Amino acid sequence: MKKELNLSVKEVASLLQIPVVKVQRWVYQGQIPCKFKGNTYYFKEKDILKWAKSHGMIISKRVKAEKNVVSEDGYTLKKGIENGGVFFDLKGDDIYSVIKNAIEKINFPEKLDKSLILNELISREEIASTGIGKGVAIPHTRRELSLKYKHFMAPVFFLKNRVDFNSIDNQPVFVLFFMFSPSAKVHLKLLSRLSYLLRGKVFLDNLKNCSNKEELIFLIEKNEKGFKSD
Amino acid sequence: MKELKLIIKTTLKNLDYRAQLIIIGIAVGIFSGFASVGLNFGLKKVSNFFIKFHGNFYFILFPAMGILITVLFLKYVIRDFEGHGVPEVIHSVSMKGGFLKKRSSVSKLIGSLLTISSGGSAGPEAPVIISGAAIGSNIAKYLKTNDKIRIAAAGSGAAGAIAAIFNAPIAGVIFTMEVILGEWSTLNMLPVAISSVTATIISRMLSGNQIPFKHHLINVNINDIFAAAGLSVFLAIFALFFVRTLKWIKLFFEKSIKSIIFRAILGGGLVGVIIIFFPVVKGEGYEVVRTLISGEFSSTILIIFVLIVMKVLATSFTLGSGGAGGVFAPCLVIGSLSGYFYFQLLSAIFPQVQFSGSTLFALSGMAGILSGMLQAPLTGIFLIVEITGGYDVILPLLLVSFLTLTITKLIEKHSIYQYDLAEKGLLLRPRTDARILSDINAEELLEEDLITVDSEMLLKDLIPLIKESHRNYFVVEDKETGKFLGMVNFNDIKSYIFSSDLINSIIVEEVMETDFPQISIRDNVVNILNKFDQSRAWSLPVVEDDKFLGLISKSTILDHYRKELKAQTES
Repeated sequence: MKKELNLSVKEVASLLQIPVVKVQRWVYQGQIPCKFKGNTYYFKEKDILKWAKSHGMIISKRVKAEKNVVSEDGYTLKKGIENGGVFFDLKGDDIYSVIKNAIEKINFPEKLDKSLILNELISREEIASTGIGKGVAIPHTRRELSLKYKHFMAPVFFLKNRVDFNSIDNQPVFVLFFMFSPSAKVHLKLLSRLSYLLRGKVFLDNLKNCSNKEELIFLIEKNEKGFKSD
Repeated sequence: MKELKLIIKTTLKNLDYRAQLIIIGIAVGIFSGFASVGLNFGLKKVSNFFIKFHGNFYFILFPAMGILITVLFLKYVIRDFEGHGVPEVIHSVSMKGGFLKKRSSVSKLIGSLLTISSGGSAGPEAPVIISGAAIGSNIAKYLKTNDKIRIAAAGSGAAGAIAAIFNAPIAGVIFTMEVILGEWSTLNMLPVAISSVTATIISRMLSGNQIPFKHHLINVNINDIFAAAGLSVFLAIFALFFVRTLKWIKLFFEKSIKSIIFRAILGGGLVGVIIIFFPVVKGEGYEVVRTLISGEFSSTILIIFVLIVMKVLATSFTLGSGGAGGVFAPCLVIGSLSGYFYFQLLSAIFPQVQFSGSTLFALSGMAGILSGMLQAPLTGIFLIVEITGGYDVILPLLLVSFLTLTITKLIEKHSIYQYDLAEKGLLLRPRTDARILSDINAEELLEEDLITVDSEMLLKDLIPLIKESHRNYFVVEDKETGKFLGMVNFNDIKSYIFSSDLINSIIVEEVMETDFPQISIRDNVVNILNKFDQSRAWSLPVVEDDKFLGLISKSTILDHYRKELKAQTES
């Protein structure tokens, strides 16, 4: 037998997702079942759940689900880079060849078809360049495929030679941040973080001079801390 | 001649609605009066004819034959098989604007004559009720009246039926308001009262102004009042037993026997077996009630108990296997038997205490069972007062009725007439939230002035559109097929539109939302609101065959709800 749980006004309010004052009014009007103890009142969880059900109210399932959503905050750029790896001196002299060479080096945890991913990456580039300026590009696949990734990774590739990515500012690209995210929301979160980092001139200079994995991760971690998600 | 007909028709249609209601009330009353007297007469005649077969072993087959013919007649001849009457009328007035089939005005009458006269245990009230209601509804249809008037017209059929059968006009009116219409309004009262009066007059003209059950002056003392409180516990138990058995046997027949013919034969056969041993439980049972009230009935506690169980079983088999009829009369039989049972029990336990006699308890029992089963306490009270012509029993009646109702309701939320409808979500009482919401449909709520974009558009190109848009949402469709893909919420892109590097490389499909329920144009507002509750969204798209039709917002629903409420509130 589960122990009977007593709830406070505040707990009932959050359970039903209504303001506390509404719960209080319902108590005074006799709409909602409650128990008295001296001059105060409390609620039995069982009564409230039964009452909510019989009155067609939806309870807190969503609240629980939201807790999982909150963990999207765990999707930091640093984590993505750690998952995906950092690579230097990537060969190639056009969009297709650098992406193709990069894909070969990435270890996908799922058994995904690399040629399929390559096709998707290229077709996304054909719609609009993922070169976001300042010599940075963020190749990623289109939405339907991104839903199939279970893990998220942001492998980083520094190019041996700068490549023209048709970026908006016409600057040739020196670094690729690949983005494989399990959902569109995660993708946008990572994108916002990267965009925030790239706004710093010092960061950009440091990025250009980066020479090993540890240095990059340290750099990202240090600067990412200042990012406030909305 | 043709012209005259046209003039009459036009005049009737253009009449003031109050005048229409009076005409409808009179017409329905006359029909209900004749229907009830006719059905009673038929039942008496046919039962008398069958009486000479009593005691013969093959009498056991009669109910099966009766129910089988009823089922075949209703299913294949008149094609009006489903339901027993009252729930259909409630459903019609609460959700279908009072429309009823024309053939319902006779189908159940004939069906119940076949079922009850052959020994099936069922009441003739429901058939008369649906017949009267169907007549009222169809007169209103002929006059092309609005829903409100048609609903009142259908309701007046129920009043006429109860009034005529029991010579009880007040009970007729109250039954209609409590059970059928569920609200008191001046518009409803008019035809209901007139039909009740007319039906009573017709019934008195044809069979004399006699109270169905003779009144005996009863001196109610304080012991009886106390005892009445205890009676309600027993009545609640018997009422619940009756409700549950009815439900269970009906479900059992529906689930395990697919053929309606076998159902009728098996159910009728079981009824036959029961009535060969306990003939008391056959038919509508008015005679048993009569003997119980007059104090002519005498039996041991055990046998009465068995009779109650048998009546419950016989009624459940009769109705569950497709027999036509209602539960009103069986309620009266079970009620009076329960009262008698309780009286015997009381006398045995407290032999030295003075009670006023079995009649009082039989009467209270009837009111109590009606109150518990039909959840119509006032109907029970007024029916007993009217059919016995005595007012002296009112105190125990009041007590028993409301106590039984309260106890029964602890366990059974809906009345026997309503549980089926309630389970299917078809029970909507007037002026309730759900009733008003159900009138609003998705089409009325649609907002169509949204800007459509394609999924491969750059965020940069979306920004100028924000200025043009009245809404916070953009609709995303597939460039080639026009298929609905999702929506872009302005709130979601706010944080990107000011970063000049990102708007050039983000495409619309990367910022659109897809993770929300879609509304169908056929959804009612209750469904729509459920979808809002589940997703906690403020706006949801209406999508049909992958095509976007429009947007529905919670705020629009509130707006429409208030307008609807204003329109539907009586001024």
